[in-house]
Amino acid sequence: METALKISLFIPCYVDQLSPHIGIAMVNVLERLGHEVNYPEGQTCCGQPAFNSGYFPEAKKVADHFLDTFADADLVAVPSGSCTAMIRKFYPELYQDSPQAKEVSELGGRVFEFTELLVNQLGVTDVGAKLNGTATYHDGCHGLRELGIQDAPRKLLENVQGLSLVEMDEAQSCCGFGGTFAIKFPQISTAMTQVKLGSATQTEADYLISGDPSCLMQIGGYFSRQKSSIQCLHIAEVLDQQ
Amino acid sequence: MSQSTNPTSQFQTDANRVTADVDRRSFLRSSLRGYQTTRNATQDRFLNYESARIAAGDAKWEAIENLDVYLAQFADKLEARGATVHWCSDSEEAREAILDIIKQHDAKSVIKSKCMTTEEIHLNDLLEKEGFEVVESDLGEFIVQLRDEAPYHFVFPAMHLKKEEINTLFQEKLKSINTDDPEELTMVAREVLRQKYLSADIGISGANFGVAETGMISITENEGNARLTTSLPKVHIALMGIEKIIPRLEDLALMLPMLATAGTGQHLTCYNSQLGGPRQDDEIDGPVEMHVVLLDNHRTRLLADPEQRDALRCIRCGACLNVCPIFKNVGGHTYGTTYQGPIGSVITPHLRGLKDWKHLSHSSSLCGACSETCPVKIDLHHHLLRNRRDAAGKGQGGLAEKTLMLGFTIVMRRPWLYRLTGRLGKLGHVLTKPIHGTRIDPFYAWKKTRDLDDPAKQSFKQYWKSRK
Amino acid sequence: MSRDAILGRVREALSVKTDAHVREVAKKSSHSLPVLANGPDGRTQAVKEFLPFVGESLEDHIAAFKVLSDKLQTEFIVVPTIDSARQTLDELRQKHQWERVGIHDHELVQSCVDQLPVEFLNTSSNYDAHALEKCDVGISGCDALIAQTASALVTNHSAGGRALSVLPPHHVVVADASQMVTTMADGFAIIREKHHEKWPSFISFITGPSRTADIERVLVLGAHGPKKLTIIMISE
Ligand code: SF4
Repeated sequence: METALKISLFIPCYVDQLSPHIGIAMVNVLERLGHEVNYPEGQTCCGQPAFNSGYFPEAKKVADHFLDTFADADLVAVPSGSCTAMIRKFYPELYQDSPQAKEVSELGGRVFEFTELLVNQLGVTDVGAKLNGTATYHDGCHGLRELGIQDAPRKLLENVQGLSLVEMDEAQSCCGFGGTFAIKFPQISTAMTQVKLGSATQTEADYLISGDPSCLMQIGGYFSRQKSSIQCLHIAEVLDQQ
Repeated sequence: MSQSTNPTSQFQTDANRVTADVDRRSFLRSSLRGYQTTRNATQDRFLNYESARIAAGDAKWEAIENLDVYLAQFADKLEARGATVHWCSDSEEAREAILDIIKQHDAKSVIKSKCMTTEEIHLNDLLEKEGFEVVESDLGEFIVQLRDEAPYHFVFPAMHLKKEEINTLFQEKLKSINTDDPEELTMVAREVLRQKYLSADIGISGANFGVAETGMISITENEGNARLTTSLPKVHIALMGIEKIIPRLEDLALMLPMLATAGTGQHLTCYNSQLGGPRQDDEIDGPVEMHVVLLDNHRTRLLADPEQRDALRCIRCGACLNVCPIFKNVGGHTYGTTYQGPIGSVITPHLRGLKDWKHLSHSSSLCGACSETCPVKIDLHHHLLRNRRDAAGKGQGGLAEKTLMLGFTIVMRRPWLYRLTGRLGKLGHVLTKPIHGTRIDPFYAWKKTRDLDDPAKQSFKQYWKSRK
Repeated sequence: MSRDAILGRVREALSVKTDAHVREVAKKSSHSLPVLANGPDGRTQAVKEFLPFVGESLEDHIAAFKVLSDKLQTEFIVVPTIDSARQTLDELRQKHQWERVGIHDHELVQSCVDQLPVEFLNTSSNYDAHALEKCDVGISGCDALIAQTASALVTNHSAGGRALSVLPPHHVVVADASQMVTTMADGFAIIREKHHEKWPSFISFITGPSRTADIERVLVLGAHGPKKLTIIMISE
């Protein structure tokens, strides 16, 4: 551990409301590593729901608020690949021809998804966590394809004591969430998760782990409805296990 | 396919049916998994597949961004060697042009090799109505034609059918022997079609590429049916969209392996033929006439879109369908379009109207598997997002959605209101308990198949406050 | 609609420049890339640099051709001399019981088949397609063999027209080792050189016997074209 860093948290709106424990786990891990964590209290949402529905001007208004809130942050940690992608990849598109373009792209360079922050920015692959059992990892599409996050979570999980990692065939297939897609086309969305369940079940894993709370909402919601014994966990929760 | 005229509700209904058919879905999935394994192995042989994608993509960019110049060159060169070029603005013009040629030759029967563009202009319907015998010679196309169905996938037209179903079909329609051996079934089709090639007056083909520099069309195939179609009948008609152009002959040396790798996982398909004109003076066989029918059919509308003209670079390899979770779970017919899958969802709203086809842009989780796989790096899933943007911008999302988004913006810009809403949400959750899981539950669409956690007793915000 | 009208529409559509962001995407990659030369030469070069490497020497090329041929189920036979090619053809004749053989006026083909005790159909003068269809085999020359793809490159000049190499159930190509080149781009260069500005109306890369996998992805050879492809290469 070299220098302690000041890390600002962005806790996406639905994590704040539905699964705060994911945020809390992230705080615990970062603090355990000796960093100073702060939480800009004016924060709300990155604007992705509007953006993905095609309401770009509306999304930009929410993005404006995000920019104000995090203008002074050195380093921002986000427990979601999807929200990180929104900020790093899609904000620049929203602000393409605006005077804030530069500010936006600079901020994008300081915002990191939790596992890439740990591995690529902080150089940590072993956080000293322990969890017994077998796990399989689900790559959230935004983290994987917009940000190229693939190795970081696996490195971290390989170093969790007692945990063995088994890849499933469909690790990189979409879970079926996709925001409003899950509501507008529930039959397709659910069929996709059904495929995920089949693939995860084949690995005989105890846990399905992911870096994206929205995927977990979808996967967890379906798995529990199907009475699957697989427990769905966010990677921050796993890394927080002592 | 349902007969409903509204494309959106047809899509929903068919999607309901196919997603419920677990057996067919797993059949599709395992077939596409086979494709993926072969393709990965072929891709791994490349010294640098990523760079090859960029180079292939560049060739198509160059063609599309200078389409006027290259199209003119293409036509001039072809005409110089005795081919006739027809310029058609829409389906109707193209159908008329083709029908005229056929009538001029007093033809009876027409043999076709695979060409999605003829599906786009509904050529078979017209020709059959006019009393011509039209035979599809590609095996997959032949099968779906016998079933009176549209192709399921624009590269694998009959991929949805099991061999037993093809056996039944052949017995019924061709009075063939009872066999579900793919080899024997293929031979049945071979025998039937052999005679058709020899007797057909007209051969109709598509084109995978049009080489501007030399005035040639390039056709990619495995079966040899396109070669026979363009060798034996005395007239050859090729129908191609104006976007199929590539600048130089040598570009094919890259495009053809890319098309094969992405399309079927082969390092090269069996026959890649370049045809530039009818039989020349010093040649011994081949058609005496060659007609190239160039089709716009709203492609220029797509070209006028500075973002989405990108999609005109498509080489129709079908790779984006093969990796698409939507395609895998709803199948090809559900789309109700000539071009299925991600590329179809991107271009159909431009070719046939955003209002009726915007649902294709929404029926995607935007997972990006398509863009990741596209051999010419078309920004497919982001184009779906751009279609959504354009639909919303035109107010096509409806008032309710617009209001919802307005509300969303108002709340998310005001932390105090956000906090209040969170608290009200919790209250709402308690108050609406009696209707949870019923049809009037606002989360009905979600909860029908998925559980949903109750809002946490303490939000993260409250946790942070309490910690201080 | 006229040519001018459609070209006019194309020009009008192109009067707006491509969105910079979209144009950029095609260049970007999550992988690290070597810098790519732009322009036509850059792309021809690309074929060499990015596609599978098949060595430099003739031996390397033959070896690569062989590996892919096996995979494709192409019968690739390397023989030392024309005499041995003759012998190979006679063995094939006996094995497959050829009676009628399609050929054309091609020096190498002619010298390989001159002693074959069969009935010939020569496609270099007026021929009947029905009769060609009844032939047991078509024997043709080619313009090049492509090591990288195990293809025989033909035109209607080198292959006796468009039909000889596709209508009979078996296609035999005879070639000389000097015809082996590395890439498809090299193949095009040969045709360019040979035919200058009078291109043949038909060029084809033949890569294995005709095939289909349209029924349940099961590979079947001889969908419409030849069920067998034999390439005989004379090495001396
Ligand atoms: S969009 Fe790309 S992947 Fe899809 S068919 Fe076209 S070229 Fe292939």
